[in-house]
Amino acid sequence: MLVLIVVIGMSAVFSFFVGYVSDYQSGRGSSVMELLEIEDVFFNVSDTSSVDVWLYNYGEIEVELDAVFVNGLPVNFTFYPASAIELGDFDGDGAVDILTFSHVKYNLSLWLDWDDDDAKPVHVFRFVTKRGTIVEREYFTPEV
Amino acid sequence: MRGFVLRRFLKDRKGASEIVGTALFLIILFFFFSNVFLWHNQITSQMDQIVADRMNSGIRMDVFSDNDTIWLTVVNVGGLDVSLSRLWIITNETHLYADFGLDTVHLGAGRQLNITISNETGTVTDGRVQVFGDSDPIVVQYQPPIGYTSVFRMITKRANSAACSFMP
Repeated sequence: MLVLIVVIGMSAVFSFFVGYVSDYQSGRGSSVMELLEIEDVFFNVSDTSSVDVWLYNYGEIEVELDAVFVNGLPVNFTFYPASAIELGDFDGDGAVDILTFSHVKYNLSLWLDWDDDDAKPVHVFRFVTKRGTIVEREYFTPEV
Repeated sequence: MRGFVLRRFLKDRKGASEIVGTALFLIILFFFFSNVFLWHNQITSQMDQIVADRMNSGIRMDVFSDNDTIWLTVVNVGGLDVSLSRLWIITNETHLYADFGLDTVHLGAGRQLNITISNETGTVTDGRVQVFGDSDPIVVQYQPPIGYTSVFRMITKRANSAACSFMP
C-alpha cells in the first residue's frame, strides 16, 4: 500500500514538474526571444485624446501585448486589424499576436488629452508583453 | 574493528531498493533539468547573435533634391547585408509609410541605394503609400507639402533606423 502511495505521489510530482517546465519554456522562459521596437508614435492633432503607435516585432517568436502604460497609468489599447498583413493567435485566447517581422498599429486612449495645459510635454510609453518583456520609450508631443 | 564494520555494511542488503529508486529518480531529474538548461543556453546565445548582428548592420540616410527631383540615399555602414523593411514619411499632420516587403530590398555591406520620391500625389491606403521597383532605383510615390518639413525614417528588418528631413 505504501509503495502504491509513493509511486502515485512521485508520478504526480513529476507530472507537475513537466507541466511547470513546459509552461516556463513556452511562457516566461521564451521572453528572451521577444524583441519589440516602437517604430512610430503619432500624436494626431485631430484626436488629442488618443495616440497611434506602431510596433515592430523583430524577435524570434510572436508577441502578444498584455498591458500599456502612459506616464505610469494603464491605458486601453485597440488593435488596427488593417495594419497587419497577417494575423495570428497562437495561444487561442482571442488576443492578437504580433507575428515576427510584422508591423502593427495600436490606438492608445489617454487619461488626459496630450495637448491639455496640465499634460507634460514628454510622454513615457511602456509596453508589457504577455511573457513579461517591457519596452519603454519617451516621446515629446508636437508643438501645436 | 574497521574491517568488521565495512564487511557488515557491504553484507547488509536492507534498504537497497530505496537507494536504487532514489538514484534513478535523481538521474531522471538530472536529465530533465539539464535539458531545460541547455535549451535556455541555446536561445540566449541565439538572441545574443541577433543583437550582435543588429549592432553590425547600421544604415545612414540622406536626402537630396535637384529641381523637381527628390531622392534618398541609403548607405549600409555596417559589415552585414541589410534588408529594408519600411520607410516612414512624417509631417506634423500625417504619418505615412512605404512598405518594402519582407526580404525584398537588400543592401550589401558598404553599398548604397537610391530611392526616388516621385513628387506626385499617389494612392494612399491606410497610411501606406505606393512603392515601385525592388532595386535601384526604387520609386516612392509621395509629394512633400511645400513649406513644411517632411521627416524620412527608414527601418530595417533588424529594426535599425536612420532619418533625415526635407523641406521643399
